[in-house]
Parts: sequence; C-alpha cells; structure tokens
Amino acid sequence: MMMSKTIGVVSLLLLMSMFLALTAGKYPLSLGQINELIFSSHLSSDPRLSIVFWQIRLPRILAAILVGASLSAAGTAYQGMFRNPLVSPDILGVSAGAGLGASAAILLGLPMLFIQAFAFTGGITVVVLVCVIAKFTRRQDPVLSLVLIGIAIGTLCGAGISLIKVFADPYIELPSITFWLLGGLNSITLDDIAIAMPLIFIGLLPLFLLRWRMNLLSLPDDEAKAIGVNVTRLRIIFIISATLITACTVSIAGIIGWVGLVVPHICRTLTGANNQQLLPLSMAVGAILLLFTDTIARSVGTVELPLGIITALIGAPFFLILLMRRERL
Amino acid sequence: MDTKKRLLLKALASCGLLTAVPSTLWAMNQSLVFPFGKLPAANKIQRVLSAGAPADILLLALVPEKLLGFSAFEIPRNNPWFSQSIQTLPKLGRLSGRASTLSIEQLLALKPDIIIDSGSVTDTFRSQAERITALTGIPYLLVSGKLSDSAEQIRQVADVLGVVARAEPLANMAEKILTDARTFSLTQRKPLQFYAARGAKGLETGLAGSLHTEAAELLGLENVAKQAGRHGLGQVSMEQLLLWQPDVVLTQDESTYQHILTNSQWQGINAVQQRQVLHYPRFPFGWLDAPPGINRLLGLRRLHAHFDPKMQAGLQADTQAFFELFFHSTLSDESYQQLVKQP
Repeated sequence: MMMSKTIGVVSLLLLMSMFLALTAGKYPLSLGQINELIFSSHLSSDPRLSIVFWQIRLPRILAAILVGASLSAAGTAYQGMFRNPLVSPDILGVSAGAGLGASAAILLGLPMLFIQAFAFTGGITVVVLVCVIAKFTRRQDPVLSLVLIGIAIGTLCGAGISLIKVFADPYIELPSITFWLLGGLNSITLDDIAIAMPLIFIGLLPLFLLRWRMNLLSLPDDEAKAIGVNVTRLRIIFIISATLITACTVSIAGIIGWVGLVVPHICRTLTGANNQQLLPLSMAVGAILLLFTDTIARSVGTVELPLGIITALIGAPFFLILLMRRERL
Repeated sequence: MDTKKRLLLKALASCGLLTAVPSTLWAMNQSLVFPFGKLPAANKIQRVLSAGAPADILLLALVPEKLLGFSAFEIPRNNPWFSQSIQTLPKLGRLSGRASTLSIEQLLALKPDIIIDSGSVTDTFRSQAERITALTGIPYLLVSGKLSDSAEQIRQVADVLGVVARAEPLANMAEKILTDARTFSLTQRKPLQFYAARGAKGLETGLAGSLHTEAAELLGLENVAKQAGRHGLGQVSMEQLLLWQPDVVLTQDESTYQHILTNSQWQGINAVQQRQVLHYPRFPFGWLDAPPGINRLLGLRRLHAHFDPKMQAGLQADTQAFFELFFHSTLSDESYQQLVKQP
C-alpha cells in the first residue's frame, strides 16, 4: 500500500516537472503553440517555434531525465555494491577520466563530437585500469581495493587535468575546460541523445534485471558465496553497467555532482534498502531532481548557471540534513 | 607626458580638484603604468621580460630587439605573416601568481632589466608584481590594458623604455583606429547587435563589458549577452539566442565556426541565415580577443571595415601598415589575402 502510494506521488511529480519544463524557458511558447507543434501536421508559421520545441527544449528535457535517472541508478548500484553510503558514481574514477579526456580534446581545439568521444574513452579507460590493477593487488578485501585504487587513479587524472589547465590558453581553452567540468545541459542536441541513449539503455538493462541480486552483494562475500552467488562475476557486471552509464552521461553533460550520491539516500528513507524497489525509485527521483534543477538553470538570468553548481547547492544541504537525522543511512 | 606633469595630476586628483575635468581628457592624462621597485633609466634597459600574453604584443611592437621572448606564443617557423627574427623568439612562460609557468629561478637566469605586464591592474595583480619585485629585486611595470586607452598605453610604456620616437607612429595609428571606430559608433542610429560565440558549440560567450568583447563594443555594436554585475564569460542556451537574434555572430575558433554553420539549431538565427557569421581565426594572435592586447586594434579595424565600405577600401593598406609598425613584418599582398580569407 505504502509502495503504491509512493509510486503514485513520484509519477505525479515527474509529470508535473515535465509539464513545468515544457512550458518554462526563455523563448515564449504558449500551451496552444505547444499543442499545435505536437499534434498538428501543418507547419507553424514561425519555423523558429519548431526549432525551439523539437530541437532545443525537448532534447534538453529528455537529456535531464536520462542523465538524472542514469546517475541515480549508477549511484544506487555502486552504493549497494561497495556497501558504503558515501559512494557516488564517480568512485572508480570515471568522471575524472572523462574530465581528463575532454580537457585534452578542448586543449587540442577539437570539435564537440571528439570532445565527447575523448571523455567517454577516458572514463572507460580509467575504470578498466582500476579493475586491472585491483586484480593484481593482494589485499584481502576486493571491494576496498577497488575503492582505494579508484581514488588513486582519480587523483592522478585530477593532476592531469590541472596540468592541461596550466598549459591551456587562459583566454580560450581554459574557460571552456572550466565550463565543461562544471557540467550542464545547455548545449545538448538530439544527436547527443541519439548516440548516448542506446548505450545508456545497454548499461541500465542488466542493473534493472539483476537489481534483486544487488541485495546479495551487500552481504559479506563469504556469506554471499555460501548461498551460491558468483560474487565476482556479479560485481563485474554491475561495474561494467554502471561505468557505461556514467561515462555516457558525463560525455554529454559534463560532471554533474551530487545526484548520484544523494538521490539513493533520499529514496532509501522512502523504501528501505531493498534494491528491488530502491533502483526504480532512485531513477525516477533522480530524473525529477535533475529536470527540476535544469529548469531553474535555464530560466534564471540571461546567462545560465552551471547545473553542477545548482545540484550541489541543493544536494549538499539536503545531504547534511539527512546525515544529522541519521535515519537509515 | 612627463613625470612631473603626471605627479601633479595625481596630486590634484587626490585633492578632488579634477572632478570638473571631462572624463576623456582625464583618461588621456591618467597614468596607466604602475611601477614596482626602482625603474632603471631608459638607456639602461636592454633586456625586457614580458609577463603575459597582452604584454607580449605590446613589447613586440615597442622593443622587439630587447624582448627576451614571448610569454605565451611560439610562432611557427613557417608562419607566412611574421618576419624571421620574430619567428625565432622563444616561448618562455608566463608570470601569473600560482598559475605561473615561468619559475622565479628561470626568471633570474634570464637577467631582465625590467618585467612588464599588461592587462588588469586590480590589487591582486599589484600585489603579485610587488612580491616578484621584492623577491627578485627586478623592477616590475604593470600596465592598464584597456583597449580604449591603447594609444596612451603605448606612449607611457615607450616613455619608460626610452623609445618615444619609435612609438609615436604606433600611438597615432592606434588613435586613428579608435577615433574612426568612435565616429562610426556615433553614426549608428540603431546599433547592430552582436554575439561573440566561443566553445565547441558556440554557447560560451563574453558578456557585455568584458575584455573579450571590448573591441566590438567600442565600435558601437551592442552585445546581446548582458547580465548585470557580470563582465566575464558565461554560458547561454540556444533558446536564449533565438530570442536575442543578434545581427552578427563573431567567432575565432574553427570548431565553433563550423558548428554554427552546420548545426540545425543555429539555422534559426537570422545572422546565420544571412551569412553574418564572421570568423577571424588567430594568426596566432587573436583579432578581437585572445589575448586582450593591442592586437585587438587590428581586429577592431577589420570589424569596422566589415560594416563600413569606406574603411573596407583601405583595409589591406591599413593591415599592411599595422604589421609593419606593430609586428615589424612585411605583409605581401598575397599573404594579406591568405590572412583574411574566410575558410
């Protein structure tokens, strides 16, 4: 009963944020015009309306939903897998790797598609590197090894980004690198989504289908093995899926912090730690949160506030309140 | 202007006696240079170090033979626009607080008689200059780098470096470019609106009042990206741009320019439809920005010529004269065509 009520409220909130996002924006679009653009077959007298709706606003809303849901799913998976509530999707260094790739591409003056490809490759490479090194470490706890190696390689990438920033032209490339690292959806196009969406779905599918097994990973490895679970294989599947998802979102939207960390916590207070319900709920709440913050980002002032800043501004205090309440963290 | 006169003006200013002086006259007489440490006599200055990109251009114009190298540029050996002697100037690195790429030890090893920096003269930059002088004992000259003050900036730095006679034609040319631009700006009844596109998708921009768009604004063009209290760089959305509908879009990077021409979202912008997307690529100095030095004078002239047929007729001669005076390089007719051709 409680669950169905939650689902009802969340669905309603998602619909409301979508409605808000569709109607809010710099370019004035009335409900009638939106209605006409969607349902009427004849072309509008002003071709700009169609560009605003189909090529700018709608892709951006889609991207916000996709990125919010993806980051939250990845965050939920990682938190469950690493049995650690402070873990976020970039724990294995995927964001740092993507940041390094993107910064290098910007330094080389490459076009957007290459920046995105470099970011994606950088993110994936770092996680592969982390996993390979973890295989060679002799620590007893494989989970702790992964986290520590992730932090180390992430720091290394951070140093690489700083080095690139030092060499970048302070008038041209440096601001672009800074903006990219702050994250945002202001430059999303349909093409970006067309490339990222299938890859994100490929990553989401195993997470979603195997979500009940995520619960087993929260048990100590010995216990999980005792009930017949191949812990290593399961962990690898989750890492590959969550990494693919995160690398895709980072390559189209830059580094957007806090969503993947905070949303699973919010949802855990609603459903408990069972991933069967937690994962879908996290995805929905993540989508709502990002859609809402992005609507703020593009509606306030003529110049946009980077999305990463708004999510942190909203996420950090919320997280602190949760910590102070110490409920089911 | 001699030092005594400048001191007198400063003293008067501090007493509040200059409030009645028109602001333009005040700008002409105001000191744009801020010395730290005891400046050597002009004839003793043989080795000059540039602290940053805008100073590179200023010093290249004034004292190419005394310039130890560029702080930010490395002109390729086969660059068709610069003479051999300028192509061989090494890139030494910049002095910029903790973002410096030239170490203090390297700086000392270069044994400059003076360090010159141009650009912002806020307390941050002053304290930085002060620290370097205190640490190395090398005098440091900080120069206010506003484009509108270019002529006076050239004269005042030339005064310190003892190259007043050489600087005069440069200052005159700067003055002429600025005056022509101001005159043009007064003839515009309805100012043209521009957007300065940056970044791979063209959605980063210099906001109104920023040094990135100073040249176009001096010409009387109106920057569409305005945000009260902000004068740096910002990100905007395509929706906002469709609403602004600038008359002209300025670009300097090939990737930005190509994206704007080919991306379907940008086709909703009138300026794109009417092919009013100007692409002024770096050579390696930027025309309107990057760096925000006196190189922008040339960009200002080029932009002016784009809108004013009278200026267009003389643009090639003006550009060639500018290269001769400021870059000490002869620009052949053929090289000029290469320099300004739109890809």
